Formats: sequence, C-alpha cells, structure tokens
Amino acid sequence: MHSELKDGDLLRRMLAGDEQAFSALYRAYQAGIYRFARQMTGGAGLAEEVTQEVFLTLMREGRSFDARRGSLRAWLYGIARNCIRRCLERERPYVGLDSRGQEENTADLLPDLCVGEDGMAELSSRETVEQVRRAVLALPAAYREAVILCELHELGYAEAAQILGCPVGTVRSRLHRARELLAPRLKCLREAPAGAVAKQCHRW
Amino acid sequence: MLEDLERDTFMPAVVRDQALQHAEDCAYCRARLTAARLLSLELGALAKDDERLQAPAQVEANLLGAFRERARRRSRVWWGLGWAGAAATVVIAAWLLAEHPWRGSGSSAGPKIQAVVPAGTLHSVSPATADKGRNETAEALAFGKGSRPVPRRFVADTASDFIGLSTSSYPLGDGMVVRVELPRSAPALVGLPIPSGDVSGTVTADVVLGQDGMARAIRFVQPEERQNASQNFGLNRN
Repeated sequence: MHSELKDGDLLRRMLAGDEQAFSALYRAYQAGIYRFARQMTGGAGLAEEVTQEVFLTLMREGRSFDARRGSLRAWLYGIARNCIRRCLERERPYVGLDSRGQEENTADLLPDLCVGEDGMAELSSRETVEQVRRAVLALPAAYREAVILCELHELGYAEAAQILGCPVGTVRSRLHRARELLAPRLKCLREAPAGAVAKQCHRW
Repeated sequence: MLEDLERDTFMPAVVRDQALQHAEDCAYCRARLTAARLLSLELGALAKDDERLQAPAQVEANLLGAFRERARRRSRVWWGLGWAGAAATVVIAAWLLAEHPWRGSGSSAGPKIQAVVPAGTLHSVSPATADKGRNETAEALAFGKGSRPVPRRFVADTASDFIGLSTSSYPLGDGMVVRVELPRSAPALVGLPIPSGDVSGTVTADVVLGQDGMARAIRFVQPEERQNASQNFGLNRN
C-alpha cells in the first residue's frame, strides 16, 4: 500500500514536470523491466529498446494509468510485454529455419537429443544457469512469460494475470504447462555430456 | 497441487500435510515433487544470476534528455497559449471599448432617460389613434391643448408622430412624457425602419407613460444636431 501511495505521488509529480520524480520511478522499475525484456527476448539490445520504450510511454501516457485497475508495476510490465511482442514479431523473419515449429514440440525432440554417452560430467553452476536460461528462452512466448513473471520475478498469480491480461486460472495453467515443458529438458541437459549440451542448446 | 506445494502457495495445512504424506507413499508423485523442486532450484539460480542485470546508464541518460525536452516543449506550448490568451483579452477589451453600443452611457445598460415632463391633460392614445394623429403634434397627444407650456426641445425636433403602444383600458390621466435614448433597433419594434445613417448606436424617443406606468405611445425624435443633415430616420413627415 505504501509503495502504491509512493508511486501515485511520484507519478503525479512526474506528470507535473518533476524530473526527480521521473528519475525515482525509473530507478524503481528499470531493473525489473529490463530483466523481463531480456529474459523474454534473450538480447541485451532488444531489452534496452523495450526499457526505453516503456518509460517513454510512461512520459507520454502516464495520465492514462488507473490505480484502481492494478499497480504501477503491473501497468509498466504490461507495456513492456506489448513492446516485447512487437519486437519479437519484428525479429521473427530473421529467425533461422531450424527454429521453426520448435515452440510446441521442443519436448518431443528431447529424447533424440538425450541419446547419451556415459560419464556425464557435473555441470558447473554457471553452465547450469545458462542452460536454464536457454531452456526458458525456448519456451513458447505465452508459457515463457508466465514462468518468467511467476518464477523468476516471483510475482503473485493475480499480478501476473493483470500483466498478461488473462484470468488467474490461465496463468496457473500456463505455468504448469511451462514447468512440464522445462522439467524434461533440464533433466536431459543434466544427464547429457557437456559437448552434447552445447550442441542441443544451440538448436534451441 | 504440485506447483502449489513446491511454491509454498497458501493452502490449508491439512491439505498440505495430506499431499506431502501422499508424496512419501507414492513413488511416482515423490519423483514428480523432487523434479519440481529441482526445477525450482534451477530457476531460482537463474533468477539470482539475473538479479544484477540493469539497463545501461545510457538508457537513463537518453530518457532524462527526452523528459527535459518534453518539459521544454510543454513549457513553450503553455507560454504560447498564455500569450495568445492575453492578446485575445486585449483585443476583446479594445473592441468592447471602441464598438460597444453602451459606451459612454454610464453604468446602466438600459434606456438612458434624458428628461421627464408632466403630461398635463393627456389624451388616451391607442394604435387606432396613431394613424389619424399624423398631424397632431407632441402637444396635442402628450401635453394636451391649453395646458402648461411645453419645453421647446420637446416640440420642434420630432421625426415621427406618436404611435400608440398599448390598448390599456386604464385612463391615461396625469401621465408623463419621458425622453429616452433607445437602441438603434427600437424603431423596428413599432414597424418603422432602422435609421441607416446613424452610427451612434442609439435613437432618441419620447415615451408617453400612463399613471399605471405602462408606455402608451412613442415617437422618435430627430436630435437637433441631426436636423440640419439630410438624413433622418427614413420617417418622412407629411
């Protein structure tokens, strides 16, 4: 509640032309927005573009924010989500042919990828993180955003539903499906040798 | 249920205990719960790794530059609107002072009364008498024959005969004649043409008021300064 009051006050001051208020809002939310964009797109450049666009939208259309419909954070994440979708649509023509059709069927490919060699080496923590990152990035967008918001950003189902513009039940089912897709992929990666992992991850 | 258990989502303690007990007993569910926990650990590691991520400082610099530019533009717009408003106010005020018909007529916006004269023995005036009274002068209609002397200014400068205004049955009695200035459009109210040459915005008229305060008759007056001019109200007197 305190945060919402603070946000409302900062927003009013920002709309009145207070640069300090804008700066405070930016510093409060830029990291989350940037992370969300980067985790969704996988690219630092796109994430910067999205972050910039979100806060330009806040400048232009801050008056349209309605606190009764949700928090400022949810509103900003919603803008970010729309920007990300536009960016992904724009970038789609440049995705390699290998990536086509992977969205729903990546899990089906895993058994082939997992044909294993013995002597699986334990992955370092860093490698594990990168594998998880790539696995998340390979999820279909609807599942990816659910898992990023609920698992990586630790938002509640209700706030995630506000951001995604869908019922809470839909968020839960998308999250469940996302985890179902992720678990076998990561299991496979844990069991595969490092060289094979690199090859698989490249395909994702 | 699996996600709720693993995420520690709020749920009744009894349900939670039952679910955990089931996971202990059922190998399949135990494996799923273990896998879910492992997945959460991995996602948690990714979240922790990404905690340090922030937008580059250049993004903030760009945005602050855009904010300042926007504030400057808004300021210019408001200044422009302010100046336009002030200019419009000045123009309107100047027009009111220069063109408004009420200028110079004091604070009252109504007819300006120039003089009041007792009517003496007035005759009743009605629309019917207005036509036949074409040759009657102000004395005949308003002051009565043989009554007190009529002020000179009330005699010589008439531009029209008296025209009856009301058909009140109340006796005229000792009414009075009031000389007033009226808007230029006043002649039109009694069917006379509006004076075209007049630019002052007003016309002068004598109004006969009865004892009941009702206007009984009116005649339009050509001011002395206009008598020498060829223009009149378009009301030719025979």
